[in-house]
Amino acid sequence: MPSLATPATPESSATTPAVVTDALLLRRIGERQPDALQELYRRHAPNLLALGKRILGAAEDAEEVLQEVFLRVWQEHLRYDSLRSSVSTWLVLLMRSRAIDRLRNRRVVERVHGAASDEAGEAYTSPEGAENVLDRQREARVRSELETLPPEQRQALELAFFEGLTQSEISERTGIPLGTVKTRTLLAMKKLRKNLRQEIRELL
Amino acid sequence: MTTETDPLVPDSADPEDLAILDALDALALGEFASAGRPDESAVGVADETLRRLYVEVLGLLPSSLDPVAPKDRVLEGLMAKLDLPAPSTQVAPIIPATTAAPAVAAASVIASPVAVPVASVVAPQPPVVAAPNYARAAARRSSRWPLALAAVLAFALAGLSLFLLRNLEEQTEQVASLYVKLAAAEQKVADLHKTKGHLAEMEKKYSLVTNPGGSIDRLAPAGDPQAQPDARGLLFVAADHQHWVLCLEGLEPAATGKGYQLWFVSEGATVSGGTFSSRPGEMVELSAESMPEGTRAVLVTLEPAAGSPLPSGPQVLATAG
Repeated sequence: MPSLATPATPESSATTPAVVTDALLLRRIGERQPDALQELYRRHAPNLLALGKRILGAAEDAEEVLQEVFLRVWQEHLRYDSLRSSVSTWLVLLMRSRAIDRLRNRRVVERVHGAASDEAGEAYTSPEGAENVLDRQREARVRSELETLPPEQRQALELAFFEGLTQSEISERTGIPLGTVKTRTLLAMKKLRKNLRQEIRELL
Repeated sequence: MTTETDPLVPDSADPEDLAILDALDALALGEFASAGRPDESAVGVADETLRRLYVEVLGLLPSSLDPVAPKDRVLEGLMAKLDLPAPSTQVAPIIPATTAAPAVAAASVIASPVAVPVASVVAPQPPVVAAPNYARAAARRSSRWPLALAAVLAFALAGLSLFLLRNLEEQTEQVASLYVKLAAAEQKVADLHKTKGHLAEMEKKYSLVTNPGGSIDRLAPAGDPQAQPDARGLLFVAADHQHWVLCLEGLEPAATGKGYQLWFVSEGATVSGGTFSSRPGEMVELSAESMPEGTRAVLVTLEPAAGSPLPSGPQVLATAG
C-alpha cells in the first residue's frame, strides 16, 4: 500500500515522520482536510484513470468519472467499510462501477447517434521514491500473474471485470457454455489469490 | 455480476466458490457499504475472510494496466466543485512542518547567491573553554531515557506487528481449510443420516415381511404368458391389512411413452396404486401404509406413461389367488 510521511497535523506534530495510510487519509477527509483528499487523489488517480480508460476508451470520459469518484469520496466517505475492503479496492470498485454505468449509457446513445470518438491518453511517469518502486513492483507482479493465466481464464475474468459483462453475457458473446465460463472465472480467481498472496496481504 | 437475471449459482457448496461469487457480486453492486451487507448470521467468519481475500484480488486487477497521468485540470476541477482551495503544485510534504522549517532555512543559506566573505562572517575566535555544567548534562541525560524507551517500544511494536502479519495469512488459510473440512464433514453427517433413514425403512419392511401375522401373495405373469415370462413378484401385507410391500423382478423396461401401473382389485372396484418404471436387472420395490378396503388381488398392467384411470393395457402380472 502506498504510504507517505505525514504532513504536519496536530496529531502528528512529532519530529519523526510517520506513515500515513489510505485509511488515515480517509479519516482526515472526514475531518474536512483538503490536503488529505489531494494526497489520496495523487496516490490513486493514475491507476484509477488507467482503469477508466481501459473500460471507456476515451480519456476525457475517464477523467470525468475519476472526478465523480473523488467527489463522492469527499461527500460520502462514511460509506467506506474497512471490514469489506481496503481503501484502494473500494476506490477501484467505485471507479469501475461508474465507468461501466457510463459505458452502458454511451452504448445506448451510440446505438442512436453513432460511434463516439476516442483519444490517446498521456503516459504516466511515476515519481521516484521507495513507495513508488513498490507500486511498480506490485503492478509488474499482477501483470505477470495475469499473463500466466490460461488465455481462456484470463478472457473470462477480463470480460467480467473490465467490460462489466455478466457470466451469461460472456457465455453469449463467446459462445462458450455458461458452466464453462463460471468454471474458468473461479479457476482464474483461485490462481490469482494463491499467487498474489503477498500483494493481498499488503492491502489487508 | 450475479444479478436476478444472471443465474450465476454455484454448482457446489464449496465455500471458496461461494466466496468468489460473493466477491464478484461486489462488482455488480459497485461498493459494499451502500449495498447492504449480507445476513451476518448466515455468513460465517470463514466466508467473510475468504470473500475479503477475493475482493482484494479484484482490487488488484487494475494494477496490471499502465498508469495514466490525469491532467491537472481534473484535480483543479474537483477542488473547485467542492469549493476547496486550489491544489498546490508541490507534492505533499514528506517531512512535518516542524522539521521542514529548519531544513528550508538551511537550504536557503546554502543557496544564497550573495557572496559573503567567509572571514567577515566567521571571524577567528580564541577557543573558549566553558566551565562544565554538570546540572545541564545530567538534565540532558535524564531527558534522553524516554526517547530510548520509546525507540525500544517502537522496535518491539514493529517486530510484533510483523509477527502478527505473518501469522495472519497462515491463520486465514487455516480457517479457510478448516471451513472446507467442516463442509465435507457436514456432508458426511448428512449422508449418514440419510443412510440411517434408509436403514430404518429397510428394518420396517423387514419386520413387515417376516411378521407371522402377515400374508404373502405371489404374482405371476398374466395375459400373454410369453410376453414377459421372467416377470414375477411377491406381495407382503401386514396383519392390519393396510401396510404392504410389493417386490417385483424380471420386468422388462417399458417402451417409450409407456409405463407400468399397479392396481388394487376389490369387489366391484379397481383402484390405481400408481405408475412405476423398471430397469434391466433391478428389482422394483413398492410400499405404502394403506391399501384400499377389501382388496382381493393386485394387478400390474402396461399403460401410457402418465397412467390410466382404469386398466386398459395388457396385463403383465397378477396375484395368483
